[in-house]
Amino acid sequence: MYNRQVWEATPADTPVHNLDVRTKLVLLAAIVLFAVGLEEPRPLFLVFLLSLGFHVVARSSVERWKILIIFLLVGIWGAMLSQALFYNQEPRTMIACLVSPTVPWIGEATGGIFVYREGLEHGAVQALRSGIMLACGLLICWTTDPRQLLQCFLHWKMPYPIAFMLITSLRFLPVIFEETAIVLTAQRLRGFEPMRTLSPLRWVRTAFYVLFPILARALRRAATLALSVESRGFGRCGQRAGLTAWPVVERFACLMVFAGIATGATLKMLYVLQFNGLAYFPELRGVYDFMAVWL
Amino acid sequence: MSEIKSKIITAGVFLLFLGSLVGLALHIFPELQPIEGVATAKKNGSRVGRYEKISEIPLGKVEIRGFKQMGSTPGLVRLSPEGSRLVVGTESGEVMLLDLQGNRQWSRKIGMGKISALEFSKDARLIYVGENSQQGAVICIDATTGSELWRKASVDELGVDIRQKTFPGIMSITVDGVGNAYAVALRSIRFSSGKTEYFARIYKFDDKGVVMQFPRDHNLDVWVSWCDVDEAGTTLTFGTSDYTPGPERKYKDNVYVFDAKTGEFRWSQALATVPPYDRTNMRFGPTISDDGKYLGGVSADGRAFLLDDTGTLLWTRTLSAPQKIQGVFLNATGLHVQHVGEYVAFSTGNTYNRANWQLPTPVEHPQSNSVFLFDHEGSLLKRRKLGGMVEEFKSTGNQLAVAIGRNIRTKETSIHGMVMLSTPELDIVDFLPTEGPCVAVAANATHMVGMEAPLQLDSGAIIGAYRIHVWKKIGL
Repeated sequence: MYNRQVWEATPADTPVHNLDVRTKLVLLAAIVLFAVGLEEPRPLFLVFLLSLGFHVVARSSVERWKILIIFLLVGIWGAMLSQALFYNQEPRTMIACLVSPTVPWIGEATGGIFVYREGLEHGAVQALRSGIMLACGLLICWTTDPRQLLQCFLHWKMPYPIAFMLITSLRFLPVIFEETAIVLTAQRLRGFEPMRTLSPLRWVRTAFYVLFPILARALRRAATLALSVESRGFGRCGQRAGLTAWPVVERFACLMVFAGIATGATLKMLYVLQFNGLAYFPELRGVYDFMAVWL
Repeated sequence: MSEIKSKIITAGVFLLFLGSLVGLALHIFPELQPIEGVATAKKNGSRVGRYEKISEIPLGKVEIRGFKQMGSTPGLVRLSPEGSRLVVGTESGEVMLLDLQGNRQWSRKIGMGKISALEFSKDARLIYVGENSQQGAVICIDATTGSELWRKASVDELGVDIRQKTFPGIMSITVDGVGNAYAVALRSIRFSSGKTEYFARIYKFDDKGVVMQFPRDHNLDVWVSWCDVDEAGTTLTFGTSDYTPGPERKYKDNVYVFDAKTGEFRWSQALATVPPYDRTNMRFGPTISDDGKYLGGVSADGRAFLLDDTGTLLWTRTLSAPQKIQGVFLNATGLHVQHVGEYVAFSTGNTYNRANWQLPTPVEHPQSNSVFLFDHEGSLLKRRKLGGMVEEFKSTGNQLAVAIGRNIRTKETSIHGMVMLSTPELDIVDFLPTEGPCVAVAANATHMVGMEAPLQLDSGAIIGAYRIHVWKKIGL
């Protein structure tokens, strides 16, 4: 049975739920910046574990864990597999040969298809990066009321139409998944079995069969929504509910986090300068060593 | 029924995710991988049965080389003087202290430098690490805790060009019997004209890190990558190389000896060149016998030398002579020298093409990949051909432990491993095979430690792994 609530934010009394929406967004931005800036797999892996730990603290349900894990698995193995096959940096080490260069047509045209060890590792790093962002993003979706998010964006002077679109797209996410489930059920009732074989051709056909009805319904829904908001005076300036005061402790913690990010960015820039032979400061050797090992 | 199916799928998804996480963690944190013990020892035991493997320690990932790539996989391993611990320096810049069962006591990353030299102090309290980086430093580490005690950078003397990436590096470290360590630092600059400029210096440290330099007030203008000192810490020697020799060089001779206590220059010796070479180059020598009376050296052109402590050349022997085949000179380079009791052992490496050493050679030089044993009078007692590159060899007093690496010509893989040779017969006491080439060795009377590297065959298959093997002597 499809449970629409699994996609929507639900109230609960956990430290993550109780955080101010601004704190959550600031920490999300900090973690995203951190994940993008990091190159070493060790800290990336630790941050990834930390992002999963937040879900434990937020007491995410088994259904939510299942969704998160499926997305993460697809991301991890998809990135690793694609990078393993198409990695073009040197050095690279072949660990398996899928298509020998001597195979007619495909082997001759591609020069052979190999699995590269360095590609797997590079893919894992990319997957950790996207996994961190995905886990933290879903955490905010699942623990924060969209109305609070809208209020927060408006409080931070985001143009009203953009903030509205952002929140609406978030709200529509569960609807889209629900509609996907409905379309798949309808297709099955008509005798279509999308998962019967693992043939890529069949998967493409399934995608077409599913995507067009969803798109049609989404367009219809968007038109209805546009009419609805216009009739309620969309874009007219009016009195809107404000946010509650941002707790000082949380504000200070966000300040510290961003100070750390700024410091990290400065150190990273120093490291890049020395790596490219532009500037080296011997007195910062300890910092360079730390950067080389951990960041 | 469908609920059970759903639960099974959910459990499967969770297990797959957990498995992926654990796999990633083990790959990212290789120190979490279990140490393979006695079970593996039986599987990969010795050929003769004089040694048994007691542990295998994975060292993490490393760039996998093939037969065509230059040089061996970097890595260093040293046994502590009392023989209960070993220190390993890996290609990724990690220094780790292990016991002989493979249990990690501590490990630390040295940062952005590459580890280029490693040695225990004689009392096993300190570990000296040499690195190649913008500072080219010797780092002294407390062997008990793994904490850094001091570091001395060679950049002050040798300079650095960040833009051109000509960095100073510590090429080798040795210790005497009275608590001092000696490190060779080198920086070379290759100009577009083909000429090369060298800056080299030798540093002496006491256990507090107090420095004396050889020469005191200027740099050597030739390639120096090796130095040795006698047990009493009185005689310091080093050999020189120069790949673009010219009249402007100050240090034209091949062997130099300094007073290790005062820093005074004692003597130097110029060794004759042999055609087609234009200079005698020594990269891994000379070494001094424990009593300080003899200096043994081996030149890259394949000759062995023995000098006495006054600088008199006692004898010269040809280990491998250059052979002209199909218009190019082939030779087996002279590599290492070790004093083994009252004998001197020399080694030769793979066959190379002098015109371009990366080009294949039509035949293997008959004297390549061999160990030669001479007495002090210059009599050849025995030669043992080992089939693969003699990557490193260590004397255990009356025996020689040899690490056997790739043979880039025959590409034979069954020769990889460690071999213990008796003296003066050079008989094989035991052969300890490894899948990949053995690139470093440490040994004493009871244990042999070898570092294995992975190797990519021409077929694309990979054999071996980056790991340490520890064997214990069990027979007589």
